[in-house]
Amino acid sequence: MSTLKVNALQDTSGVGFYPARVHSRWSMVGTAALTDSEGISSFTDQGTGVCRQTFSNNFANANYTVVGLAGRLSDSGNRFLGLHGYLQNPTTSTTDLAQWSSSGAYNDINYGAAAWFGDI
Amino acid sequence: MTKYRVIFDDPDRLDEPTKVLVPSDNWMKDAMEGNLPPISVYWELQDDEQKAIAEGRHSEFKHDPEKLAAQYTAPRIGPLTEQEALEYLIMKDLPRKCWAEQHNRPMFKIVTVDQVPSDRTFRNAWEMAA
Repeated sequence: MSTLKVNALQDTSGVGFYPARVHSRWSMVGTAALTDSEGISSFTDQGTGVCRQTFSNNFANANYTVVGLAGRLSDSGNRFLGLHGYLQNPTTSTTDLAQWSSSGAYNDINYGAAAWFGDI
Repeated sequence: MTKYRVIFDDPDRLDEPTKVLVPSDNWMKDAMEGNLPPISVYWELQDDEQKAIAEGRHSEFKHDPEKLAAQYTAPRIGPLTEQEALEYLIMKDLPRKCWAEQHNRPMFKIVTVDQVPSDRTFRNAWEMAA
């Protein structure tokens, strides 16, 4: 396997590509687990429906973008994923995420996924 | 895949349920292969950011480029055992008050995954056993 080391990616017309710097896939049903990840050093189960993702390396600033998906595999009902900024805003090394059911209550999910885009 | 977890309480938020830290397998592999910088690299970044938060300028905060680059360029510390990797992770990812200050009880414990309950019915009532 080869590794490419570059500072920036562009197409032939000079338009930049901005790959995700970090991704995480987790479950909080039963014993919380980090199913798959890149750029994550740890995942913390903070209580029902709340988790913290800690990055292997810090971002340059905390103004990164997060995209995510939440759900319950083999189960009914909608689930939502959002920023849990109640006690801690995103930092350059962590993001707290919360998961809710459609009733608005914190809820544990077995399919959580997120990717982070920003300056490293 | 590591069988260990770190359970901890944040001394500043003792009314919250006990938290369970799950190490990333990729990160543990990196640590055991010797790919980590000295822990002081992360502490310096944490200190700078905490200062910015305390001074109310976090929204404009940007890490010093040299300190940020040290995450990738600082000499690696060499391979760690699984226990050493967990200790490094505790010092990197847990609130510093958990491990750097004395309390009247332990604020964290390294446990095996089978010691963590899988029934989450009363998850928000979990407390660390003495």
